[in-house]
Amino acid sequence: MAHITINQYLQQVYEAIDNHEGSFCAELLSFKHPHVANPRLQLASPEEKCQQVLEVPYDEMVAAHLRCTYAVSNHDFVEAYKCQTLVVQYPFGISGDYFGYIFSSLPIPQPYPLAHYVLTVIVYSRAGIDDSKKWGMLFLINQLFKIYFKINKLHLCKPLIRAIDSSNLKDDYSMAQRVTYKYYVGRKAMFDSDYKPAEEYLSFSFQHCHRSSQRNKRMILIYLLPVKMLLGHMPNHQLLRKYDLMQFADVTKAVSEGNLLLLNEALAKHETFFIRCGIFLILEKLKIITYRNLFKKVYQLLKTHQLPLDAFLVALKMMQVEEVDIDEVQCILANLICEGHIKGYISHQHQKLVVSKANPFPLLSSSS
Amino acid sequence: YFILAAGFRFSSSYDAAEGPEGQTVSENPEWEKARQALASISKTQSATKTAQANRTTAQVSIQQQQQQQYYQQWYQQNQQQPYPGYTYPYNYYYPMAPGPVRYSLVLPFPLIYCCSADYKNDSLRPQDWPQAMKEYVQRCFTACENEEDKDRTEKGLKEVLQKRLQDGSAYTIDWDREPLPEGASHPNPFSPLSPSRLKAKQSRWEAVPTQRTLESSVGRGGATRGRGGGARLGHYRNVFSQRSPSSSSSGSSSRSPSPSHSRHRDRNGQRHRRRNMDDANSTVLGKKRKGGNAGLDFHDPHREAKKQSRAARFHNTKMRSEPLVLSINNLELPKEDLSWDDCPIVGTCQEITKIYLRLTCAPDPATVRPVSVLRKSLLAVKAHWKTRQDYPYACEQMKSIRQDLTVQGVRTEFTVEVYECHARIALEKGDHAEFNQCQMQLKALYKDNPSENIGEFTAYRLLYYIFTKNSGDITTELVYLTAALRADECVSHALSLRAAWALGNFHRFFQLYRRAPRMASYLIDKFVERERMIALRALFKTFRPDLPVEYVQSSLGFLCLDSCMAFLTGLGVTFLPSDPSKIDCKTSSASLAAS
Repeated sequence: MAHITINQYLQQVYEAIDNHEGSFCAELLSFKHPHVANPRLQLASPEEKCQQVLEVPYDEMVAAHLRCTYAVSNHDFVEAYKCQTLVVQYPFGISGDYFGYIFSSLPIPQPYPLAHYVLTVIVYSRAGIDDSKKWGMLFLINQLFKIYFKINKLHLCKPLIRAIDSSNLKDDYSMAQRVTYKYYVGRKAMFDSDYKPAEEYLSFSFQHCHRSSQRNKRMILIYLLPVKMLLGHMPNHQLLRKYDLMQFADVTKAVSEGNLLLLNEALAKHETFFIRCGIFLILEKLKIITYRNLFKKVYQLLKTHQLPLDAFLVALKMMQVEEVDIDEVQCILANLICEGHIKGYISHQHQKLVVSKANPFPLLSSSS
Repeated sequence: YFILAAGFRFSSSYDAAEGPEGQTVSENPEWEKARQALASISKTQSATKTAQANRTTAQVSIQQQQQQQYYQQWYQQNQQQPYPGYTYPYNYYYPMAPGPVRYSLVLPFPLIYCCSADYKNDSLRPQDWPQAMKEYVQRCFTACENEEDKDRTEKGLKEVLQKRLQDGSAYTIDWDREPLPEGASHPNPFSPLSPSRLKAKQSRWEAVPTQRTLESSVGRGGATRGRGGGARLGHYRNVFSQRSPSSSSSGSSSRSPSPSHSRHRDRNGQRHRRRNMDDANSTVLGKKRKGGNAGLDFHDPHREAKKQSRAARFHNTKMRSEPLVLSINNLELPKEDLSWDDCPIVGTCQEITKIYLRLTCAPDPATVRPVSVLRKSLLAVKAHWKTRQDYPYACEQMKSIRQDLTVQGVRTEFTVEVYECHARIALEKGDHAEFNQCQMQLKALYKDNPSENIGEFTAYRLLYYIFTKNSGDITTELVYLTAALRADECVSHALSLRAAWALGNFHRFFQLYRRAPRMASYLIDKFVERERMIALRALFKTFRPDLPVEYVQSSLGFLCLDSCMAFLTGLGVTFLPSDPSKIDCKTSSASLAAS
């Protein structure tokens, strides 16, 4: 592949098309295939040659592809991306993964605006046409999601999500694409504090992610874990060890025990990791769960339905919470009641928390 | 450029025909442009044998003299022998006068629609047009003074000609008397924004739509591509022109010579050199096939058969009839904003105060104050604000100081001082929009000009994000917080406030509010009421049967009882008839829910 001439290459493309060898054809247009390193194919202006050998629209596709190899060899990713937009405009009856071949090994260049721009051009110009052109949609949309998350403009995901949701093809795309899609949609739901849908999406993603892609599974888990914990489901150590996510170990332990001190320590210790992954703010919300667990212990110890606020104050002081006073206790309790984690009310006059006789601390999964 | 967005190929055919070579030819160059524009109206699917004959064999280099001859030849032939199938008149090389390559900006969502320009009229071939009409077109283009005019004319012409051809009046009206189309007077469906485009072209320097555009574009730092003086025109146009969704302003701005553009132009040029009209009568097949099989080592018994079938394909619709042109360059990226650093002005004005006016043209140095004067100006404004508290005046003066700094390309500690001052004045007044502008500029300025107030303003930024509930930006801000910054008094306060806010810990939140350092409380004031409402709802929902007002006052950070009472009664909170210092939680909860 590294030494063939342009004519030989074109001949191969032609024959692949002629013989309906879709996958071979895709390889000949893929950046993962060694032919892209062949300097004889890296032409600045391959149009004429392509036109001689290939039919419409393949001539344009291949010409754009070759031009792209030229651009990449010159490290002109701007140009390369522009060429790619032409290449992917042509529909094939092949699955959307075909497009993966094309884009996969081109790194998304630092000018995110460029990549975003180019991809939105494709996505929106393809919309509304017949189904066959939609095969590549999900792949492209996933790429766009990737960019939006990187540049922190998640609101731009919304129209894309709507487009896919309304599409009738959404269950027919390849599993790989769907896993990726649900991963991003799940993360967006997390960001919007919709934890139940987030759990659904991310769980789907995790379960259907291919067994061998450890890295991807780990990535999904990083977002699935906080959501699950907020819903009251703690991961076991085995899982954490398997995916090298021991940062969550202390967090998990602290939350389930109601150990605020340990939680604060754990969050501080791995703060950088959590912030970089973008889950720090969510994990912070686990404090509320931790308060609930702590106060539940107080309730279980005192065995009464009329709990003096002082008891909670003592508990918090034990956890070395700084500058805590009775007023803050009332504040925290008020929040817990508001969110449905405690069933009861506070009597300011008697300085007591009065809880319901039946199930005063409902299950987290039902109250979230 | 609605249509141009529809198919890249379409527009590229038009654009690509311009080449960089200058050449005088016997025929009016404008006619070429006209012909192409008109050809785009009458695009048809060319699919015939004769069309095949027009396929060009592109050659690597060819003398322009030859090209002219070809052109003449082809033109003559076409005049005499109309083809059954119409073909684009692109398969010859027609050297154009040097002109900038035009790019059409294809817009990102949501303005792109895929539309298919449906021109099915077979009778609209240029050779069929009445001579008078052709001359009219020629006159139109000759009347144009510059590229913008040509753009406009082209648009207008398209509409007019198409209409006339379709209803047949093209052959009946007196073209000699037909007025030239004006872009403004004809509402042009192809360019819905043409009135604004016209406006955009009226002066070199456009009115800045908002101050923000000017400031933010300036604040973005130095230009990354070196450009000559002449180039600035196009880019200023981009900065100042109205950001209409039409591609025109960006299109025209790309006219400046720049490294990447000239590269593109060279490519176009190369392509043009190749797209040459071959000897129209030679069979194309023989030449092409020569290249096709060279180098194949294996012996394919079916090769002959394949060759035959390939040859046969030339007679079907699938091979391209006109030269393939990759419409790559039609994707024009959003332009980076220009920086004033390209050619700063040095001001000479000695007036201390100055009215703020948006720039509509390059400023006259005599109206711009040098930094030495601006220092005095700043002091004057500060004094004025302290004594008179006249916010509109202060704001205007500050903006004019900022403007003078901007046009002189000054980005020093003094600039930082100015922005910090303006930010503080805005904060005091509660103008969060202006504050945010200044704050954003400061963020950029701090990179090169550290100030002792970085902590203070970083804290304000965090508080602003809490105000706008922008958790994405909060996260980003957290990522970049260094240990030194975290230790800063203002920043650590803001961080604690953020943590309290995130967990709904209103008790701590209002405690911190009372202890806010420097001017943070002005910012927090912006969302204090919002947080008080949330807290109040929580209180009324969870306390039974009643709650002393005093408790609410201390919990929600009210300075005095009266202000608390005013707040509560304003919301329709009800008190116990027996003890007015106690709030009836249940009924108040209902009133709150209703409000």
